[in-house]
Amino acid sequence: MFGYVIINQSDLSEEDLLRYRQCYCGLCHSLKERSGNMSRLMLTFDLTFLTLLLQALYEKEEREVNGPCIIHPFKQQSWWQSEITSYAADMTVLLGYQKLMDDWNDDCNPLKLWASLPFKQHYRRIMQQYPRQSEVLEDRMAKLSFMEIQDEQDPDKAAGLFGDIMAEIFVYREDHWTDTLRKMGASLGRFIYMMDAVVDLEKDRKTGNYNPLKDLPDAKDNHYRDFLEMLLGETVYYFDKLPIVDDVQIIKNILCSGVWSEYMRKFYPDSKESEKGE
Amino acid sequence: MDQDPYTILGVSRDASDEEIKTAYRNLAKKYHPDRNPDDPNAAEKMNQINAAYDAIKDGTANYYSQGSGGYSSAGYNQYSWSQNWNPFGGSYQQAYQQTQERSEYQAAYHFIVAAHYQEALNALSGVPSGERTGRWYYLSSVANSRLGNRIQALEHARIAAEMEPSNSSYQQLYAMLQQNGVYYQSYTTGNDMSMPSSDRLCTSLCLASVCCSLCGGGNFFLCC
Repeated sequence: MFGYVIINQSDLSEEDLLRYRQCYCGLCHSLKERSGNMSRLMLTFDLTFLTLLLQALYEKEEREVNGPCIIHPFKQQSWWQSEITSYAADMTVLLGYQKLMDDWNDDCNPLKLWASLPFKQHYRRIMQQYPRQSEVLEDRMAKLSFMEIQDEQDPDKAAGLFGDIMAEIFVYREDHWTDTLRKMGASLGRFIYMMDAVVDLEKDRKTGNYNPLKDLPDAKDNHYRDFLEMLLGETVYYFDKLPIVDDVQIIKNILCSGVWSEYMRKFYPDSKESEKGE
Repeated sequence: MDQDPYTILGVSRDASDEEIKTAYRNLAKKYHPDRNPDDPNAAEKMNQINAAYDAIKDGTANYYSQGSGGYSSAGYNQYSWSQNWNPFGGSYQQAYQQTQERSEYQAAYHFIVAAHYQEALNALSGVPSGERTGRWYYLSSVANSRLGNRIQALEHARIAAEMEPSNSSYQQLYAMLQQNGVYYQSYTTGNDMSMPSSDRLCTSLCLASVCCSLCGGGNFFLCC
């Protein structure tokens, strides 16, 4: 997960900002409760987005909590949690653990292996509880590693594998919305993967790291903006099909503006828009 | 479904998107099988509500009031990566086809017509990169788009269109593959595609003529 699916703070009302922060804090607390304090380090904005989306779709009962928080020891905090938050917390650990194992395989840094140890038992529990998601994740992560070794230069292949992972994670349960959520997750996953490739292109060319755009033109001058917008076009199309009424302003803020924060900061550091980011 | 979808959801025809979604949510809460485990009619009612919502969102709901020949007012049709358009439907293409061209291109063309898209790409890969013309990128884009390879399809359509700006087929393909991006832009600016502002209107007209010509219609690409 790459942390591109974030809010654009300057365009959100106070109320929506609080709601988003409470969702983020709720996810952080769910991580602690389910997989131990260390798992809070795996917290991502991408899974906060998923929490908000699935909660708005399924309207599971929310528990509002006020209390102290180890991350903000001098401030009274409030947050909300639901069944969805628990699901997103488990998916966070599933992805986070795979990421650590992937890093360990890449650079054989024993610190990464050591860091993964406290999560092993939780990873096993989650794998048993969510076989559909974890099977796809393990399979596609293995294929992604193989692709990096092969230096595969077909962007659709690599992005498609990451899209598959997100597609499964977006499907909270089998029902009338399964198909739409899967397609939305797949297109957002493809977008995240390609956004990461675009933003890191220059750096990867220097370091020799894998990047599926290496043989293509530079990322300057908006060259890649049209396919990033194409991928997001699919995402918002499927989002619009979902009967979601709550928190639409926050979700639209993320999909229409927040997702570009890193891109704007990188390629248009002087423009107004780049200051809006998280 | 024999009843009007708008009647099933209890909303008027000019209801806003939010009103439709709210109406759906209220009904879904009432009739959801989880909440009515003993009511055999609830599941059927729920299916009806789902179908009605889908019909309105797909833009097919208006067929109910205007008969089968009615005009659907759906503002936007997403470019579907598996949809059944015939890229070589126009007479222009057939005329072009009869002229001499590389055997790889001919093979790729026939594979695409026979829906063997991967084989088409394999045939094209035999052309060294220095000898690839606009035609190569065009054929590659078509085959890639049919395989769902969105990024490659768009990139190659762009190159084909840039190499041969006067070739209307290449321009049309590029515009068609940009459809989802255009939708995104209108979504982010809050402009509804069915009510285009002056600069969007141009794009909408382009897309309409692209769709027609790719479906085998004439070659009337009049644009910006």
